[in-house]
Amino acid sequence: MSRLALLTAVVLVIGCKGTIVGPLGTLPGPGSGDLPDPVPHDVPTTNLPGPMFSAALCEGAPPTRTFISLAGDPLEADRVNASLDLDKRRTRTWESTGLYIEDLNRLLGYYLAANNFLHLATVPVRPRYSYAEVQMGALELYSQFRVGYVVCHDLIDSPREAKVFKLEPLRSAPTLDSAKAQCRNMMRQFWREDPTAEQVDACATFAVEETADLPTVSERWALVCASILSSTGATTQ
Amino acid sequence: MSSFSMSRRALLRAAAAAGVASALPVGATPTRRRAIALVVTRGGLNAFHSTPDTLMGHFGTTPDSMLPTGTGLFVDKATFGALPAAALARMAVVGVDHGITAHAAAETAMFTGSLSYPLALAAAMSSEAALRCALVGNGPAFTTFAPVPGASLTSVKDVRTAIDLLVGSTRADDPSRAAMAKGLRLSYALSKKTIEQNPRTLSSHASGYDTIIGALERPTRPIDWAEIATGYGFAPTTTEVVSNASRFAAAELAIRGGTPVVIIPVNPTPQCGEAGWDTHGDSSGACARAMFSAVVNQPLSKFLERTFAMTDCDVTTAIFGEFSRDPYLSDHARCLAAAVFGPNVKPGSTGRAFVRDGGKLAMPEGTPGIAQFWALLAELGATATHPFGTNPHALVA
Repeated sequence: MSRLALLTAVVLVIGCKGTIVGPLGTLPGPGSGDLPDPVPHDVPTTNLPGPMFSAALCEGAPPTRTFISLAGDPLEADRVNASLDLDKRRTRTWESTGLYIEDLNRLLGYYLAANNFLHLATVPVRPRYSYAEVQMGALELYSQFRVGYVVCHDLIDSPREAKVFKLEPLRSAPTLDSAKAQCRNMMRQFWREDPTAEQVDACATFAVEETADLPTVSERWALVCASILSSTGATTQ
Repeated sequence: MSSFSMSRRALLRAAAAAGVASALPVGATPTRRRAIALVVTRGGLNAFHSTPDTLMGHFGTTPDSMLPTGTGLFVDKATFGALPAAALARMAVVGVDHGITAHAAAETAMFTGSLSYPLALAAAMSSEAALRCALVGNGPAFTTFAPVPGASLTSVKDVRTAIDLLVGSTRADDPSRAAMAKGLRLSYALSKKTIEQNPRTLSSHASGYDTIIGALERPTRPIDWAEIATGYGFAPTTTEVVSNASRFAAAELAIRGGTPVVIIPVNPTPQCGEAGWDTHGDSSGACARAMFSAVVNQPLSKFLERTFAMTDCDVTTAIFGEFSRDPYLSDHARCLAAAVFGPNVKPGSTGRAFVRDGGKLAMPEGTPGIAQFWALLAELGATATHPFGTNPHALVA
């Protein structure tokens, strides 16, 4: 468990009265005795099956104090009792489209001049007020997919060998085995995390079956590559 | 003040009904589609623009400063008076008595209840477009646009991407639309688990995927951006949505692309200070007049002129701020008078603002609230259901 997750768990426990219910069992809250270690020592702290504290809720008495807004509504009316393992990820933002392209270059291990793509790129921008959630709109997704496709295609068609990917396997039409290997490679590189077997299977099946009508091998792989680049593994953090 | 809430179930029903309504049987008489344009002046919009006759003697309003529309209404000659005659002949003034005098609270209340009102409206309107609601330029800061069933917000800050999507890209290195749609379907499938684990922070990704895949699977539309841009007085190579002219042009582009609801926040000028439309101290109305004339009149006139001339779409344009201004020191009023223009608008007024003791702006007893304002827009948008309840404003032709 990361330090942040552990700290959050401790804060939640301190902030609650009553009990906290999660997959590790029922933990007593501060109102019911000494503060426990939120993670029992005999439980491994990595690779836990399923989310931690998936149903962690404050079950103490509801607050009795209310706060009325200038509009006359109670401010706490839409307060949600958030679960500990939800909503940890946010949409990625970039300061400029140029930096977005630089980021793509880093992920691909390949240099492509940002100027060639600036006119294509629309990226999520951080809102003026930090409490406003960054939105991923349709045009941003469209834009990121297109830029992803162009850079992937350019990379795969390149006569040079890229630093990150071995391009040789991408110069043959995908088979189920080669697609699984390449999908896994790309997901690890673009997402910085291991994909699930289902994600790899879905990607490989797509590469073999859904791209077969494209005219060239590089276009087939570029479509796979762009799909992974524009998925939440790469567009959120 | 009225409160309003809407269940997701009701929205789903409305969205489903809108979908049914859009699927006309073969041989049925085609009807003109509808669109709603929301022109927003963040900071407030003075009521003297649209109802000067009830504010005589305040904000520099005199018999000479007013112009009759020919429908029993009067408008401020220097501002609304410069709008096209066809639009003024189809103008209504809508009163909203919300009782809120704080910017953030009023703006939030005007746009968002339990759900986003523009998105709820867009979901309920009959449209085959995937882009249901477009925001051109930067939006109202205090407004949240969390997606609702059947509609999400598409922010248009540069029209290049929107043109490629709506009209079709001419880039040789782009994959086909069908291939892109397939690729984005895989992208969505790979993202589903993450989106499910982040239902609040990443909900826009789900609606974004639905919208873009839907748009790519629909046929393109022949829209002439060069003609639109030129019509608003700028070069077609200017695609960034920054100026008010570019905002109205982008709004027209979206409407021509089939989008039923468009939000157009209009910029003030700095000539009256940084507060913009929040015109404190402007008791003479000179500042509001100067700003409106300088930066809104021309592009709004062009927009009204062009949308009134559309042959395939009835566009209703509503202009409003989060509140109007009190005559005393042009402070925040607790109500507003919105102006609504459109071919289906019945001229009239439910917003005959008057001045109470102390220089406060007031609405007549019984003036409806926020939900009822949206109910009027829903009726003008010919929604298949009544997502905001019954419209009490008898302002629909």
